[in-house]
Amino acid sequence: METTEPTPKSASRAPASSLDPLVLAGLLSPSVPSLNPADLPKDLGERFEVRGLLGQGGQGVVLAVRDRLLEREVAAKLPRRGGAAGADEHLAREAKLAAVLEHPSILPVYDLAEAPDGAPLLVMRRAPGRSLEDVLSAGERPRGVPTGAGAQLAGRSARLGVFLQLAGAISYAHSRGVLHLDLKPANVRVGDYGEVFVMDWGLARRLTDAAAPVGGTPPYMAPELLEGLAPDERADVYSLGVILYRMLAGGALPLENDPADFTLYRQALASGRAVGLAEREPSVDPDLAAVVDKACRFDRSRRYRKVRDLIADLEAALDGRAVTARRAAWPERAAKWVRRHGRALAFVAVAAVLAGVSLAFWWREQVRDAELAARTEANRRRALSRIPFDKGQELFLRRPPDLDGARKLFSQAIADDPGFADAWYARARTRPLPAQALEAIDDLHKAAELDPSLIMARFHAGKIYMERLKDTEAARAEFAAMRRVDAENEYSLLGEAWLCTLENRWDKALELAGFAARANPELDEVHSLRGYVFSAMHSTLRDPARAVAEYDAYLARCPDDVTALNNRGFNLKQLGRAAEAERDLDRALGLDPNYVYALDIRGSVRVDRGDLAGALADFNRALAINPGNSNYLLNRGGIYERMGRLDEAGNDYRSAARLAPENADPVRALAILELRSGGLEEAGRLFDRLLASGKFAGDNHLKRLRGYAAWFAGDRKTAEAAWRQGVRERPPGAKLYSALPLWRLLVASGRAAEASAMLAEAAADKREKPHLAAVARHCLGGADLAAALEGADSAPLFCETFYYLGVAASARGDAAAAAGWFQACRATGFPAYSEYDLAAMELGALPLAPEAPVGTAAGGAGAAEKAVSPGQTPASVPPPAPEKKP
Amino acid sequence: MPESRWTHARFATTAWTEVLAARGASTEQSARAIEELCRKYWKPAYAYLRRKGRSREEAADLVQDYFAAALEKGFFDGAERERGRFRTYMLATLNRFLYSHRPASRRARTTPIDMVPPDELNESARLARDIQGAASAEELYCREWARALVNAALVRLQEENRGTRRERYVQVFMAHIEPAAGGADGGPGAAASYSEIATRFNLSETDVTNYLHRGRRLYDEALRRELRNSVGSDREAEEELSELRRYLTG
Repeated sequence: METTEPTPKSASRAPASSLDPLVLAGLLSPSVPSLNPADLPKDLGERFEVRGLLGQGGQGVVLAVRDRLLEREVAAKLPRRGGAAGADEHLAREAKLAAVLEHPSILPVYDLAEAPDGAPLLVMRRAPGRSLEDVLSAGERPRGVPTGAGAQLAGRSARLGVFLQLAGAISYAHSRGVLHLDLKPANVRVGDYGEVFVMDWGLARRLTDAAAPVGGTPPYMAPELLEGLAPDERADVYSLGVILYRMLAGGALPLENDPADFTLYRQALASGRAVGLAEREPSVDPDLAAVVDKACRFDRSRRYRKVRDLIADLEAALDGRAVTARRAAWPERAAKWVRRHGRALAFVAVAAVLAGVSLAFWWREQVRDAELAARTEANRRRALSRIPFDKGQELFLRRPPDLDGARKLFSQAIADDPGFADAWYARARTRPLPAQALEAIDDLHKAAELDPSLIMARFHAGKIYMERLKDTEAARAEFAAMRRVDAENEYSLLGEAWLCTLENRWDKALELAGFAARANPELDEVHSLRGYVFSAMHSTLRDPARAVAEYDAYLARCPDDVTALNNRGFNLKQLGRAAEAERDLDRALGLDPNYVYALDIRGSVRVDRGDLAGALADFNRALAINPGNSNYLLNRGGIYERMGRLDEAGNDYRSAARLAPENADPVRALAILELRSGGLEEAGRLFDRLLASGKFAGDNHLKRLRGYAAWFAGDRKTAEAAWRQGVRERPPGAKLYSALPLWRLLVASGRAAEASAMLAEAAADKREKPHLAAVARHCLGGADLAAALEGADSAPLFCETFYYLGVAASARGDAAAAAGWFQACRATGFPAYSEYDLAAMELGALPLAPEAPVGTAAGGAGAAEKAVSPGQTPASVPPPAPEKKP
Repeated sequence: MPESRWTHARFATTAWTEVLAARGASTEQSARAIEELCRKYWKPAYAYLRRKGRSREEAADLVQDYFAAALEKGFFDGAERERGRFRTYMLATLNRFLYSHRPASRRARTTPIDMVPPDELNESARLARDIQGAASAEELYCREWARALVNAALVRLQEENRGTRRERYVQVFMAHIEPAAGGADGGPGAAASYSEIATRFNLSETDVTNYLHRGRRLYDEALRRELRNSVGSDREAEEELSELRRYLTG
């Protein structure tokens, strides 16, 4: 009976069990083993005509090609289909690096184009001549290398002309911060006139680039690269040494067996048996041999540090001068000295050296054995730690990632090899923030200390300082350190961009983010940076909609970033998308319950929604974390006030005012609270203070309330002054708000004629609101009640109309009617409008009762209409509808 | 918060010979390395045993015993001295094991882990057919090994590209190589055509071609990496591939 093939435990499908064998065979043919010239395509797109095959290697195929556009013969390198992993990236990297180098011995790159199937195409100059590999294998010595008897003599540097040109090119490349890392005779071409070209920068990298994969060809590859150490100039020195060795030793290599692959190479290195040049080729000058041996040292600390040092020593050897490579054994040194300084002194010198010679040799052997042991041990440790490290990587890269598991594995890797910088970095990246922010910083610092080229460690440390620990100085220092190491890496660009945001250079920050994104389109961080640029309160480029878009992109990839969730929530609130905002904030606070910014914003959102208890909880927690924050106090006061807990509200407002004396908002809130709770004189005082100077000096609403404070306190003079000022200074279309109570005051003071004249004038303006104008006409006796009610057709308008009809009735002296109107006004249930509160005060019910249950219309419109910055909710004041009361 | 792509992640592949060559590696770590290889390549061993005449239950038990013994007795410890192709090495040690093994019917395992989860030891009709039709056990072993390798590569391909923008290329590629469910004679159905794939993924056919190119290239890389785990050098990888291919088509 048919049973289904068991599916593997992972979620990925693995259908190979049911595939047709021919399909399987096809899937096992990743590459054409060798490209037959007959199989070459005719063109690579319209521009390039294929002429022939120049060569092929592990990473790519080089074709002879004609550029139809520029009408010249060039070479084009493509990645091999199915070749070594990451061939496309290799080629792009190669192009970038080679383009930076301009030197007579470095083959110039013309362009990085695209083949029809999307593969990258590296277009470069055609290399002339033959490869050095061909020359060496054929047994020739390239022109200029001393052979036979000639090698004994101190040659002139011209004889090693080929090598010196090569070394000069590499030295130049190093001066530009570029390492080649795949130097071998196959990558060197020698022209007919002895001119030299270095090619194939496919494994090259910048000195400081930690991101590039490491490779090489075994006999020429520096041993430290197998151990996973970051390469520096000395890796190229090693390769050059091996090349020079071969040039002088008739093509042979320093190691005993020809290590064709990495496994054997590693074994050969571990066993440490290299044949010195002098042993292999006794005819070579010993100093020259010493130079070569020093270049080929397995232990890089004993090699030449720089190529130019190698060149200098080489020239010294050829000129018969002393070389740094070794101290010549005593007979030779004496011989040289004698040659130079005359026979008379020779015997003295020889005798002096004799005594110390044997000791020196013995000690050198001891050192060598110790070095060997140390290197083997280091190899072993690194190989060990790679196992948990690689597994940890897998867990980290999974979706969703298993951070705890990965962290344990990385800790194991660190225990196995404490010098493994990558493991420290990796562990830092698995740490949850902010819980382990400090531990993460420690890990990152350790990684950077072990490997300064690991600039990502600096980058993430800077981010943590900035976002979590609020230490901008430390963040600055980290980002600056990144730039010092490598200013052009995309992470350095991002770091600099973050720095610009700290310095309020928003355009520059965006520009740098753009560069970084172009360098690496997969960089999620770019979105988070842009999002911040569009969100920050003090940003000149603030744009909530664009901010949301950027954070959408970022959060799609990094869904658990608390800062991003918080910021997106904030922007959504700005755009009025409150439900979505609250979702984001809930999530952010779920991940980090003490993220105080999110508490603040969510508190405001909850107030808007009417969830006062929830909002209070949020602000309580925010204040527990940040007790001295006046904005939070202001907001909490507003919540208390709406809940009717007026004493607590007052306390909060006073505390806020005390903590931030330059901020007038708490005072305003307090003034209105006093008014509503019957502290009329205090309210008046506070209004006067606010209106005298500062932010609220011209606030018409406050002027009107000032009038009421005075009126209810019985101070008609002040009330009249305030309302007259209001009528004078309010914009047209809003004068009646002050004119109507003023009219009542004048009538009540026996100045009816004056009252009517004033009101008539104010009401005459066509721009006044129809419903208020109707009430005014009624007050003046020109309209009956029905007409007065005509203009009102919705709850807010009724609220106002009823109130002012009550005012009119009280001016007539009809207290019962007035009370009726005021109660009707209350019944509209519109606490957003000051008339609602004023009606209560008219009825003599002070202090005011807590807010009526919020109905959708009243509550919704009552919510803050203007954009709220985090930390400010004018919840304490029933805000006027913007189109009505400016 | 963690990035979704760790920019300098080296998708490292440790040749199994390197793992063992780290002298003094703890048993735990060797065990894990071997475990992983066994998890991927137990089927060829099972098929081999079946073709050699064992019943399903016997073959299943033997496979488990073999891997347990391999760990316990360190069958692979000597590998570093030789050129390393795990496939050939496993077959050699499997044969040696068979020769000297005296099975007991119910025996407590000394290793705590079952190499092959018992519920996976179901033999499909396709496998049963192949066991019957194979010319020799070695040939069957190699063919099953090829399948297992491609399996592992496909799994890796999907894992590595999950959640990236390259995932689309992978999906199109998978759609292209997978046979439709069930052909008329119970064998695999025909693979989807370009226009079917275009419809399914809402792409133009030109896009499908491009995506296939890229998906194929990604698969190649995944295959290389998977292959590299079971051999000792790049040169061996080439040889391994051509041999496996020959077994499938020859």
